[in-house]
Amino acid sequence: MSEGDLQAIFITLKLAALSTLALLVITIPCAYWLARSKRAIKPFLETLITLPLVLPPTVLGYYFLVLFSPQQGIGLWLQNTLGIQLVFSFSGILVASMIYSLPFTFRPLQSAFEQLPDNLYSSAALLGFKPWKQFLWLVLPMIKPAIYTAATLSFAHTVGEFGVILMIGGNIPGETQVVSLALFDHVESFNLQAANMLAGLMLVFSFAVVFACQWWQRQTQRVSTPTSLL
Amino acid sequence: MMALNSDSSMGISDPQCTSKPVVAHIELNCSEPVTQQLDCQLKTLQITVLLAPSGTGKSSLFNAIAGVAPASGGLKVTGQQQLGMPAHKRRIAYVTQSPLLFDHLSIAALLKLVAKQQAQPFDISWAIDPLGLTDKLVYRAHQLSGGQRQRVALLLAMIKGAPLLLLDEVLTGLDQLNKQACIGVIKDYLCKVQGAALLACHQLDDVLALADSCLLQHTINNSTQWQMFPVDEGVERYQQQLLESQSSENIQGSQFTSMFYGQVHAHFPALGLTEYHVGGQRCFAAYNSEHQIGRLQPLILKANRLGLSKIALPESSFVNQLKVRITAFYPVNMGKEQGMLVKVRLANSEQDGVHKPASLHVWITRLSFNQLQPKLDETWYLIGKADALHG
Repeated sequence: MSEGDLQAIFITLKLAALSTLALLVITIPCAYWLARSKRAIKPFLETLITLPLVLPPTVLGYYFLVLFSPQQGIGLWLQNTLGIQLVFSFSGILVASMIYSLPFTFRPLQSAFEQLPDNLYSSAALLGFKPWKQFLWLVLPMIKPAIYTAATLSFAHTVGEFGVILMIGGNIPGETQVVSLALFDHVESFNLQAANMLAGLMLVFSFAVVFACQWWQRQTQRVSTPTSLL
Repeated sequence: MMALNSDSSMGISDPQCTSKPVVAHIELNCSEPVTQQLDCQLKTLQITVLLAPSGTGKSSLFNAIAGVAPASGGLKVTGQQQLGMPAHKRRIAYVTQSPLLFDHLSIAALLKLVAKQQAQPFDISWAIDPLGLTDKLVYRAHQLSGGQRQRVALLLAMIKGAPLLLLDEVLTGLDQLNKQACIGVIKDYLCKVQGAALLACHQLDDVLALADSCLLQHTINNSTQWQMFPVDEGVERYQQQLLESQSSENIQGSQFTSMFYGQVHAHFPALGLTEYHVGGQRCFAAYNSEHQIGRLQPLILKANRLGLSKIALPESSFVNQLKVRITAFYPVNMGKEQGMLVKVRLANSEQDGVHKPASLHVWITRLSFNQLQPKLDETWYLIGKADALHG
């Protein structure tokens, strides 16, 4: 495996890990709020969050380019004030990945929060739990399987990204070139041996992810026996 | 509102718990789903039962007191105003009708976690064994039976150590042994925290065994007001309300029970019986060594465990044969069985100075009623085995 491929693997893993972590930190409180919210804006927000699921990645990438172009608007302001350039940079593909993987993280969490029993919060309060302790000690442990699922899906989805990263990152080796882009390069240059290697790697990884998701789901359904608790 | 005769308590006889300061002063109004008004004082160790049919707002009232439903008025517990405080800060322990027991933790871990939330957790280790939960602590709630979950919920609620205990149908579905254990733990808890309890309960024999006083509903202009009565009077009034209510098809013969006071006359431990005297008549219940000879003891009769006979049956296995006078009849079914609830009074009880001559109920099938044709004011014998009477 070439140094470029190893770099692409490292960037892919870094991107997927950071994007998953940041998404979890942001989406857990947001999904909790939206699940309990009865506001009229709720369906609108749900649609907006689900949009990246159906939107072609190129459309998302295009709007991202327009919005964060350093020549104008927000992009110009970010460049001048904070010195951040999102287009053709790792930060850019990180933000884009987060937006693109948002529904994969948000929806399982929102669904888990919505499935919690209605009387959970009042029952916890009656036992003396302050609201933030209810969330920390009862709600979060109860939705742990959904957190695992959301993290796995988000990580896997980011690893498999192609269109958005190509549009925003521009396929710069060592900066924005991820495994899927490196594979594309190998195929274009008829380097089939390297392409086989990367494709095989992605196949094994995807299989492992789906397998892990199913295993977690089985774990949550399994009734634990008293001996396992001892 | 009637004054309470606290000495008539069947409850705790612990000499250390004889003084009765006020634990809770409740002047509460709540309007969801029905307008209700509760105005009462609960004294130390007092157990008060809310007696009302299902769906009349008992749980809503409890929710309002506990702070998980809106309410107005005043609610003081040991002098401290609770209204306006969030539920987790109130000095109120509440066992709901369908408690949630957080399945992701074992019972032991849950007990520890709940204790961690309290500024001064109340030590409940003494109650684990009597509630039969010692070997259940390693399990998670979904691995326990309904009755065990109910007892775990009681244990969890007690960790708060709050002096006002709200119990919504905690005894429902428990077998007699577990019921006794629960009652014992509830009374011990109240004694330890010097608290009082409000209880919602449907089984009138449980009410009579546990409570000191009853709250009955009284509706004025679509607003339900709760009125307090001593337990025996309250149960009698409630039963009368049930009989006179329009929804008599929902009443079951097994719901009816009666209480009267008998003087403990003798113990027969070898036979497993204790003899009581009431108005010059003898009756027997299962042996209870705690009942001191000569003392007046409240006795409970379940209507569907009794029968009627026109003549005394000296050559029969019925050890309880009380001479009674019939005062009223009400058609009451039990399941699909057509029946009649017969109201009686102990013969000569008033002249003989019986303590609180109460109405007794006996439920007989329609078939027996048609064959025997009892009439008002006639003298009959109320017959039953020793297990029909609970001391």
